[in-house]
Amino acid sequence: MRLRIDFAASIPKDVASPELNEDAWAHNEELTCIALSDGASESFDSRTWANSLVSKYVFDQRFKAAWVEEAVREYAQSIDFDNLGWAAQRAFERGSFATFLGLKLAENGTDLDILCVGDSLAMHVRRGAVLDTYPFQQPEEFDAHPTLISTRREANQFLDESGFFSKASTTWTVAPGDVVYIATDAVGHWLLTEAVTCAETMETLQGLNVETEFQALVLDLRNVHRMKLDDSTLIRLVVE
Amino acid sequence: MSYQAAIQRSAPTAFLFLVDQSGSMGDRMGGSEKTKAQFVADVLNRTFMDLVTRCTKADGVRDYFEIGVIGYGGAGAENALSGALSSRVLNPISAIEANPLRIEDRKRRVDDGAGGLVEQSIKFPVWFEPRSNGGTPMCEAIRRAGEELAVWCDAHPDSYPPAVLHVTDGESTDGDPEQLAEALRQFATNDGNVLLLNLHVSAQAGNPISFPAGESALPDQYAKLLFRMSSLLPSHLVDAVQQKGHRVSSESRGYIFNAEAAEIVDFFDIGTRASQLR
Repeated sequence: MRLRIDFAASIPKDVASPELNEDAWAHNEELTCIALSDGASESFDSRTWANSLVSKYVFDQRFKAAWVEEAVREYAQSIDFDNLGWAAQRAFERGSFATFLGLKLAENGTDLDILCVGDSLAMHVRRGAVLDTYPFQQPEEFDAHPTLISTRREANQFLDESGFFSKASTTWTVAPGDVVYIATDAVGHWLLTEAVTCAETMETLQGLNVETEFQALVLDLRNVHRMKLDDSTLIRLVVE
Repeated sequence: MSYQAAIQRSAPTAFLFLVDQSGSMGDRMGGSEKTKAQFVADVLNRTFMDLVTRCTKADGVRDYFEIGVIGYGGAGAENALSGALSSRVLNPISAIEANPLRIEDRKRRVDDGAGGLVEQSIKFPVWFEPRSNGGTPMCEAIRRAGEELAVWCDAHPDSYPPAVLHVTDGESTDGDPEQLAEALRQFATNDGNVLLLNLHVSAQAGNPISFPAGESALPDQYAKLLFRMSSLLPSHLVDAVQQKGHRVSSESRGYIFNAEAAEIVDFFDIGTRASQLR
């Protein structure tokens, strides 16, 4: 089986500045794995960092502490520190931060392995009904400060904690026709607040076909403060 | 709800520092070789550096903040920044980044990522020099701050409200500042009133009192006056104060009495928190 990308759109927090969108996603050619990352606003180059993480994942899904360490090293090597101005030097040292959500179809074709660090969300839907969400089940869970993967080694020590990866992972059993949504936090919070509990909203979600429809939805929700002002990414995957 | 506005380049916020530069600020801090003026200048320079760093992305400095310093002492109350920053009190953070008085080069040893250490050059900018002479024209300083922020609030109606961080070690020598402070706190954007936070710097022994919820524990009329001049802490600053390990409540005000070194650093850190940058 594979994960067909049925819909994907990312609306920046400032729609006039799409180049500042710090969400990133990537998938492998076989469409058996996909990754989504949300770069934190207050960091030096979270757009590059988020892109680095998702690009690395689609080539190598062995996401462990050593994997992140290697990503940090590659990121650091891409920066000419001595030639940065004083502010850029300090901002670089303060670090760049991003969430990470990775989905991988196991070789048995029915297990979907999910790894999540931070507050992006995956939602499993079968015949219009929500079977599960991960890592959160309640919208209030988005209120906590999210765990973020950093370009500073010392900020990633949580990855070495015993049991971290088992707590950050789950497996869903999927079947052909199942739909899996993945979203960064602003959209994920809205999914848990409104879509999970409202059949009409779920229909709206399932009916999204083009980016302009999603942009109109996001802007409407932002205007009435039902969706946080943030880069907003939604991807709909169909298992086939 | 107030104090919720996202800080964006199209809607920045402002931090205005009021710094007592009267003669008594030349006295040594308790338990330190540095004078109070030197210590405050060091912390202020580091705060500037931290604010610039928060706004610096790989593609440049984003103007989320406007920053200014009004110093008051023997020469009255005036813009305490110089050079290109002297023509206006509140300057965008990109102008602050571009115009330090000087940048000092310092060396330090850092992890080379392969188990060793390498020496690295690091730059330290300085914007603000310590000064201490004359009296304490606090009323003039607060009046000047009000003039600046009235104009600023009119020009930025949708912004997170400005915060005024006032640092002093003595009594006003040009009158009672309480009514002026109240007037300053009345200026507002659509997101809330100007926040006025006051810090009393100590040169003597005795425990600091941080973010009190009432006057009763304060030792004298002057401390009580500064307490009354201070804003109630909005909820996100209550959270920030709690994270620093202080006991605090919804009645707590932005005031620290008899601050020593650690409290001065905390005060600047907490006072320059704002809602999330976007």
